[in-house]
Amino acid sequence: MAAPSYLRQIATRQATEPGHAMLAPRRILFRPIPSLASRPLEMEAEPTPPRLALASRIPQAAATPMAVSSPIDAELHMPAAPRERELRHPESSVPEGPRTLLSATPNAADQGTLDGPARRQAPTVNRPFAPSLVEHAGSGSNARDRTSAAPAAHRAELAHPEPVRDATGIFHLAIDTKPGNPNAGRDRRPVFAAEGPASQAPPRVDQRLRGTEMPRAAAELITAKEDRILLTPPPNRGLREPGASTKPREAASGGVHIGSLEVHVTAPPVTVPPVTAVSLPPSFPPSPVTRSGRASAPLARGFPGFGLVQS
Amino acid sequence: MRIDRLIVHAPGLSEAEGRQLALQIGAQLAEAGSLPAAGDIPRLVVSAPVTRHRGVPDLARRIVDEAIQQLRRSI
Repeated sequence: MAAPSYLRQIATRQATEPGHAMLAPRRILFRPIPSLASRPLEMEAEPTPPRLALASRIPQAAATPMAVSSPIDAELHMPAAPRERELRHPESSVPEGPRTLLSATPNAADQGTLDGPARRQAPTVNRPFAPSLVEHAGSGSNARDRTSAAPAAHRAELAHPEPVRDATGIFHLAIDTKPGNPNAGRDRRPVFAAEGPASQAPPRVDQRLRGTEMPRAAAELITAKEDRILLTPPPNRGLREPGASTKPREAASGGVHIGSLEVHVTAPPVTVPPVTAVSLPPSFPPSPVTRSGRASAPLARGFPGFGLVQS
Repeated sequence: MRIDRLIVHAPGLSEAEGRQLALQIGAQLAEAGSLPAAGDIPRLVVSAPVTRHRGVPDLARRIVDEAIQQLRRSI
């Protein structure tokens, strides 16, 4: 008689022993699985050597239970993590640098099993939480990266019957977007160029120079030339100091040089005759000026306004 | 002789008379003889009273005479 499947064991255990129900199995049970990966529950219980399942590069079934008795073993029923080449976008030129960073990711656990025995004994407790970590890290990425990673995942899914998670592209983004990543300078993808304000400042300067399509040296020369133009006085002789800048030319040509000739035309001096005593005509003999005489004088000469006629 | 700048202050003359006066001053200075061989005078001021009854040519001649005298004294 075949052993009950793992899920059935969990279901039975949860029903009989509610206190032993684990959260991790719940996550796995309710996680959506692609239709291509849907298999009978009995197939998941096939005992497979864990080392072979982890170290194998051949796409095979993802069911790699290590120990059925342990409740944590349910985490091994997660679909096998995609291989290293599946994690990358086929068109992207991601260098091999981030492998060191991948050690902190769950996908690197598979690599660690291939590298040495020390990593081969890595606890598998963290494996089920790997997808959640990946999804959380990828939540901050833009939609373009998600779309770019989607075709790769689709092709990998078609190539292998194994369910391939769509977090492959997001996986790299979550790592490479960390500030201070040494691989940020080599990766030419836009998402890396926009990462980190410190690493973004120098490219901005280059972008400005690239927009003008002139090298940096040419721009400096132009700036210096403009400065020289501003510092050079205008070639206006009228505004220059008279005689200061013309001495060399005067010495070369000879002759008399006058910087400024000012001609002041003055009015002719007015010859005012000296003031002398006014001599009255003899017809008006001086009369004694008295108080009554001032008014009587016109009347004496005859003032028709008053109707008086001097006799 | 070279003059960089010629300024004529003639309050009693019209603009046309002032222009004619300046041209005649320049012409007479160019034709004048007995000038110093070389010299540099930054600023030379010549004053002359206007004489309407004699006309602008006579005024220009008196101004040139005065300028030549100052040049001889200066250089």
